[in-house]
Amino acid sequence: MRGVLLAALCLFACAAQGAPLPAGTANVSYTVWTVSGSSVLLKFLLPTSVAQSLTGAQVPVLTTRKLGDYILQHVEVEAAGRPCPAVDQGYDLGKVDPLAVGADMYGFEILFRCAGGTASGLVLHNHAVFALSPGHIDFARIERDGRAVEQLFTAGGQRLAVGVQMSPAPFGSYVRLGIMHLAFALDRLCFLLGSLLLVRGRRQAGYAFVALVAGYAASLLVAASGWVVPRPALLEAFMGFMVALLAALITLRELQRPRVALFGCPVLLAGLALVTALTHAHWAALALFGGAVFAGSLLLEASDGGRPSWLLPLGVVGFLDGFALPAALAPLNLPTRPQLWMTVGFDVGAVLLAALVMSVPLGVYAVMRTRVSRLNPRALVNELAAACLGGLGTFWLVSRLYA
Amino acid sequence: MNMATPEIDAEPARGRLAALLAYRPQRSALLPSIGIAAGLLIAAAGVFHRAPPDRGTVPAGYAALVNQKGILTSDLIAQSVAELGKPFADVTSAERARVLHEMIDEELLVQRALVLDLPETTTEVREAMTGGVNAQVAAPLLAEQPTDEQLRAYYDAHRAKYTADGSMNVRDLVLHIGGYENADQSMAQARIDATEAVYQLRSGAAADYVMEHFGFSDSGRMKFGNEPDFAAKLHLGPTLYPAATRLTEGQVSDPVADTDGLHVLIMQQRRMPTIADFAAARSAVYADYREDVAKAAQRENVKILRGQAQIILAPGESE
Repeated sequence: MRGVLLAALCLFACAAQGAPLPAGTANVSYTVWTVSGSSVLLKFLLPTSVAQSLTGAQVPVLTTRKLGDYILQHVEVEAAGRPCPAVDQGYDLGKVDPLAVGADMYGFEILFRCAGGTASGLVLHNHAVFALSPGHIDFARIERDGRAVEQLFTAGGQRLAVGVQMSPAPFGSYVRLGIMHLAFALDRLCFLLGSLLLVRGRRQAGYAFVALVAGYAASLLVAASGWVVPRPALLEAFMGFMVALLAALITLRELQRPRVALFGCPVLLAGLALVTALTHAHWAALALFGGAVFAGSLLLEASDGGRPSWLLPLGVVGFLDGFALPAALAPLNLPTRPQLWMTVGFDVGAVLLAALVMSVPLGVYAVMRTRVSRLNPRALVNELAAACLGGLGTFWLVSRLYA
Repeated sequence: MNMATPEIDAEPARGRLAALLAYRPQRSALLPSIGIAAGLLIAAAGVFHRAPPDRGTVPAGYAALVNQKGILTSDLIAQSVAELGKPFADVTSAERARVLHEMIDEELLVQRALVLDLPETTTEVREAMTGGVNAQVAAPLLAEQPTDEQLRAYYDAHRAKYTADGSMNVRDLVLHIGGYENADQSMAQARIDATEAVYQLRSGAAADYVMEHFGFSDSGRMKFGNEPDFAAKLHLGPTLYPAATRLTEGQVSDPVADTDGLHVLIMQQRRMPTIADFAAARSAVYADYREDVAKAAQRENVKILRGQAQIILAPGESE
């Protein structure tokens, strides 16, 4: 019965593919507002993927000038109730100065001049992208008199009042961001729901949750140290691999001939690593090769039913997902302390939603098992869920690897 | 019996294969654990990479870090010596601090220029950059001093470049055809008159008399008197100038037809162009030689860059 519920949830999650751009980490932009005397200098960074999503109604043809005009029309500054106009920056630049910020990002600078100064009633407005994508997040950094605070522009909060004593965005806003991130991340949801098929009893469910939290905590430690940073595309591809690996773990338990799953998964991955190496994507090939060794060893270990090795993928997924916000914040080059604060809030939000996602199906199952004790088409449902997860995981792995 | 044996043997074989595939050995967890750890480490090496070092202290050999970009101590020394005009040992700490301050300001402005993408948007920056690359490419070749043999060979190959310009003072008379004074005059009649005028001039008749008698007037093209050849060429135009260069002092040209009528040129004063000898032209030869060497190096560099570049022209465009 539990399998039926989980399979239905997995299928529901898969059917939700048409949801808007995910919130939290993929659909983001960055602004830096530098308040100085009577002027406010805005630096706006927009990832190319988000800029491309504007093409059509918002920006007819994606050119730097058109995009700059769009940004100019969607940002405002006001002080003491009066609007601060954008200043023409001379030459033939106009009011928007395009910046060189790398191939995967558009950058613009706009200078606002407030005739009456910025000492009182300073309000920053950012309406860019939100109309098209309500899940969009703008990570804002406001600098004034040598101090800087981090804030958020969201669809529900497109206006920020800046006082002399600036305050950063509250911890709760990052918790909400973490919740939104996981709520729209289908691969993570599929993994969490699928992992419940491996759980045998309440105690194991607790272990699974602890493994996930341990993964997030480990990522927090590593991210705080600043030693390593993820390659975002490979991280997301590896997340797809983890979903596929979960399917292999579920299948392993059901198979009469476990060696098919034991060798099939690693061999396929090793083949994919070889193909990837031929395309000169060496880091991706290395990740796949490591994945093949990991999958082979884990499945071998898990085939000997009694050991808790199946908890390891949960820890790995928690660890990988813990890097979602640090990777998204990378363009802002934030100091360690505020970034750690934001990441803790984000991870707490993600863990809270993960707890909900994992506990609700188990609770419903527990209630229904007491009423319909004889209904247990476990094998069939596990096969169905494993097929869904395996297919989706492989799709995510390959599509993100070669995107 | 013989037919039945393979079927009987096939059943145990399938059973053995199934048992082999379903085999779950009782084994140690050590090896799989090592595999798991190794796999995760290898995968992590692919998925993650080392963060760029965020330096909080200035490494040896550098005077300062500006947004993680270093200013070399050797550059500071060179800049101090160049700016203050004295050995670095004599530079005071206050002067050194001032030079470093200026260098940090300059570095900040350069970084800002790169963020603003000035190389793409500002003509002056583009010109400075192309000039810088050209100078850098030519520098190794220009560092080699040419020998006299090389300079002489260059001089021989480009002798025409080292001629001193001549000058001329030529009087240009024009007989307008079909003007209001002689509306019925044909080209043939005008040519007969002009030929007669030339004859009289060559016989010693005064120019003013000939002008009055045949209806010539001064064309006004050589109103400045004695002019260098390049100026005379400009003023006389492509039809009259070649005829003028063939005249020596005192000579009169044949009638030359131009757009405004028939011209007769009287060479009053002529200094012919002269070719400078190698010794006199050596410094000019040296400068030209180096310029040509630099241009050759720049052409070669552009040729290599073009060879390495992907250049796609729009339909209908050519270069």
